[in-house]
Amino acid sequence: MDDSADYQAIFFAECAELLTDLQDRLDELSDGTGDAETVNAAFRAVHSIKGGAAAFGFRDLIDFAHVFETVMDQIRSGRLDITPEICALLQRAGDVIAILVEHARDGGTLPEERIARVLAELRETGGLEAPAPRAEPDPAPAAGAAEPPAPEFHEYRLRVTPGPNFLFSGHDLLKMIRALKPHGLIGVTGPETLPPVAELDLHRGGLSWIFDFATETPPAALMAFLEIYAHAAQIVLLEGQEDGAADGTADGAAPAAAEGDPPGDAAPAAGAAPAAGGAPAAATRAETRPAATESGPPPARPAAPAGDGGGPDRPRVQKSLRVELSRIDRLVNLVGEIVITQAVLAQKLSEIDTGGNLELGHAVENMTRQTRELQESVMAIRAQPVKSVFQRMPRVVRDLADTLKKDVRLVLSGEHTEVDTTVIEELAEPLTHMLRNSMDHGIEPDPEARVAAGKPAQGTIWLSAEHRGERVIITVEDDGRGIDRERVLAKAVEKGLVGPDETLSPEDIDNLIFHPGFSTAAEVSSVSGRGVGMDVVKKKIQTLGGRVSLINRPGKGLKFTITLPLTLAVLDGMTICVAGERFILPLSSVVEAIRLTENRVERLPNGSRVMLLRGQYLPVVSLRHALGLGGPDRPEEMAIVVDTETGGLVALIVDELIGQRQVVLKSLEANYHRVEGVSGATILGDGRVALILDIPALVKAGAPQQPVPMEV
Amino acid sequence: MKRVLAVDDAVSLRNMLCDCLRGAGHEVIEASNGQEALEQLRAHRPDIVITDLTMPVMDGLDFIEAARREPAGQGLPMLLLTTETAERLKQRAREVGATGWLTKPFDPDTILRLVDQLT
Amino acid sequence: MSAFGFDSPDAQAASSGRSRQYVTFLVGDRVYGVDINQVREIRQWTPTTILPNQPHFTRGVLNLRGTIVPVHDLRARFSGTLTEATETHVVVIAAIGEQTVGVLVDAVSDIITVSTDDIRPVPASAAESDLAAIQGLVSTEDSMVALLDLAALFVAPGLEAV
Repeated sequence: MDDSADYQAIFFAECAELLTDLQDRLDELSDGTGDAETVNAAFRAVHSIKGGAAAFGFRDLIDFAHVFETVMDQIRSGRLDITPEICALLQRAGDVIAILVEHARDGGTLPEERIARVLAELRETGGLEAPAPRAEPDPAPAAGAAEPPAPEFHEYRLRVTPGPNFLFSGHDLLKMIRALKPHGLIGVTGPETLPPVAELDLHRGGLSWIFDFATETPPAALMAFLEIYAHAAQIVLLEGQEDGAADGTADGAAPAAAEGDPPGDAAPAAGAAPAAGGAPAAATRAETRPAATESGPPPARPAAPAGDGGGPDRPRVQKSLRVELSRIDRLVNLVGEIVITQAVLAQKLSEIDTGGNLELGHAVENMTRQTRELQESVMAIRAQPVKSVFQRMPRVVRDLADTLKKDVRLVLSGEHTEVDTTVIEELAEPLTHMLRNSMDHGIEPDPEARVAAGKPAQGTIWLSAEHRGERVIITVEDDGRGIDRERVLAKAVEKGLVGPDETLSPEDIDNLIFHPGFSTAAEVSSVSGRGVGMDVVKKKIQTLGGRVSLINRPGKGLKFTITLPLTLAVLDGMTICVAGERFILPLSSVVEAIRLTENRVERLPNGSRVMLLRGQYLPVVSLRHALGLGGPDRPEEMAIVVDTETGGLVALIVDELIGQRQVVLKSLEANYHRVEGVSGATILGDGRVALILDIPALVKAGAPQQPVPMEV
Repeated sequence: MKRVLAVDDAVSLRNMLCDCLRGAGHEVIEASNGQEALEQLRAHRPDIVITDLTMPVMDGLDFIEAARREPAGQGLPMLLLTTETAERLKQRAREVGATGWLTKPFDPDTILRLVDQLT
Repeated sequence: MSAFGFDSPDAQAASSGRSRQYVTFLVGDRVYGVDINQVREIRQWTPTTILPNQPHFTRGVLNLRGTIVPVHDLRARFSGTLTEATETHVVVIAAIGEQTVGVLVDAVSDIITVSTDDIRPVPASAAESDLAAIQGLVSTEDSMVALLDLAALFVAPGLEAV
């Protein structure tokens, strides 16, 4: 029984994949891009979940999956047409089954009402009747367990007539006789009329054998034992004792199933399940009753035209292999080290006199290229489409639409944009918050208000992803009412975040929603509440090396833009020198580098410095100062103009610009802790460590005297 | 000890089945779909087959049908273990030569009994 | 084990089975010890990369076969004075739980075996905050060894960050 938890863990892992697959298929159906195989695949996913659920006895899940699957089956057999309404229902059912799986795994409370509603819709759609409340205990006790405790002695005689398919079905009369001996088989009499040996065709069957028993095995148990032969042989109890109660129950299963397979789980479980559903056919005399073993009941329903997944499965696009992330991480680390070692090697070789040996130079060049390719290939292993996180979002929206009674659709695009898996895992939480925010505060509660504003009654949220250079841009945009600046400002003043006389630009007001002290969510705490505001989103994105910004169009909608690095493992950087130490600036932030001799740095009356660049004064931050480094007081030479994304362009003063290179990110936190102004470290060609600078944090630290409108 | 070929695409269920059989001292060969099962059948000549019905690539019914055309599949007991209950599927199972139809959740006692009974 | 036993001190150490080995090293004329199980390797001092705005005793980070390891100056940790590190100085690479740190010292001295029973507590009067990082004191033939609790010395200050 210890293993049971293991099996369950595997089952839930499988469920996760099946649910993903199901969601994909349902999406295809909704988009109209699905075909017959899509329906099949969706059916199979639900069916597999049901199979596992049955093994572990997750009753709610089994029941729901059963109805879901039945409806899917009707679709694939063409009895139900795929309409938008059906697609929407299937989506809701997909959500519910996901909830039920989660519940089976984690427990907690179920949204009973919602499940019941979807279940009723499914039943209605499929023309299924609700089953009578289950009175009997759920699991069918095993046949063996049903044996009455007090043994009685029975004598009876069976006539066994193997059918034409007896041998074909893998049965063997000798094996059968051997297996029945422990059950008190005392004699077998051959066919009364045996044809000549030459004409004897065992495959044809039709010969009857008489089996005599003297046994303690009650007839019910014996019949259960014999049920496996039922479809291949006719077995009739010729004479024997009156049936006991247990007998009737055990035999009842098969006739019940033969009479038309009700939608419930009335399976004639071969030898396994007494009382699966139907009332036992009360047979008085064994002799007259077609035993549970009568062969082949006629099909209760017209056979469905659609093949049951008979053809080969949808061609898998590519074979895939599941590997633990830790193994890949080891590989990534190792390759990172090789890259560094290679750089060291190249540098050392360049320092020694190779006597004009060109081949050595070529070899080094080749190795440089190959190492880079190796690194890219390894990084590609970890790249994943953002789809894995995007596709969880429709459910978030549907759940919330349900709670808020708002009609909202979510439009996804760019799901196939690939991002490093480390980034993807971290995305779900901020995205969920942003969607909640849009659902809760963005989309108008009143459809008429939307229509009055010239918008469709149904709200729309667009979630998209795309690559832009070395970064991925994710946008969450809604067509709701946008941020009400007046209200936000009033609230900020009320909370003391903004002085009553301060004048803020519209953008500053919009950005107040990222302020840690500001959460309009407090008002509608049931949804985007839980004390989580947009400040948490911002912080999370920043820890991923990303930025978030917003565009507010009051009355028309709100658009959040997140930019993230594609990976947290490598970075294109610019190496600079400050006070004799080398540092790396993320190249994505660097706008341009300027010699200070060409541009003058001016001092403002308050002591802070600015630099004029093409008619615009930029704040100047000395990295030496920001990093708290003393060092030789020689004149700084270079200004690197960087985009802080939140604070606009800033000129960083450095001693020297060394060059550009791709660097492997190393964690400071593994052995130390986070250092303000530093996003990580890397190892340079000479083996020394260089820090990668977190520009927005440094600018904040380096320019305290600069008027900062908002502490964002 | 019998040699049992266990076929199921769900690893959890297959593991349960395999553990049950191995626990009873049987040798178990595994396959995750009908196609694999057919290969295992040819390679290992099992005494009995227990297979899931709904599987990718090749389902249990197609597998049984194909297996019955193989030398290794002649007279071989082949049980379907499934949650399916549709009569048309059972009818088809009979036609393709399935030995028996068991519904999940499987009962270890029944499985073990049938392995002994049918081989 | 009886509380009223007549075992000799040696037998006690043997019967309790708790003798430990410490790597000892020098900072000035003081001797410190670190549990040998924590010590990963001893390295010659090489210049570190400075971390901005960290405690004065944190000398920066170094590259230990691809991982970034902080180096702390033991002298600076106790006396406030930075070690003028040269090639003759050594860095003791030690494990503190999951983390690896380097400790800059003057020189490695010895490996000593100590019975846990011979470890004496730091006198209460001397129990200032810095001394809380000393697990105990052991006397050897020619000196007193202060056994260090590296986690208390170097990890705790970092916890306030983030």
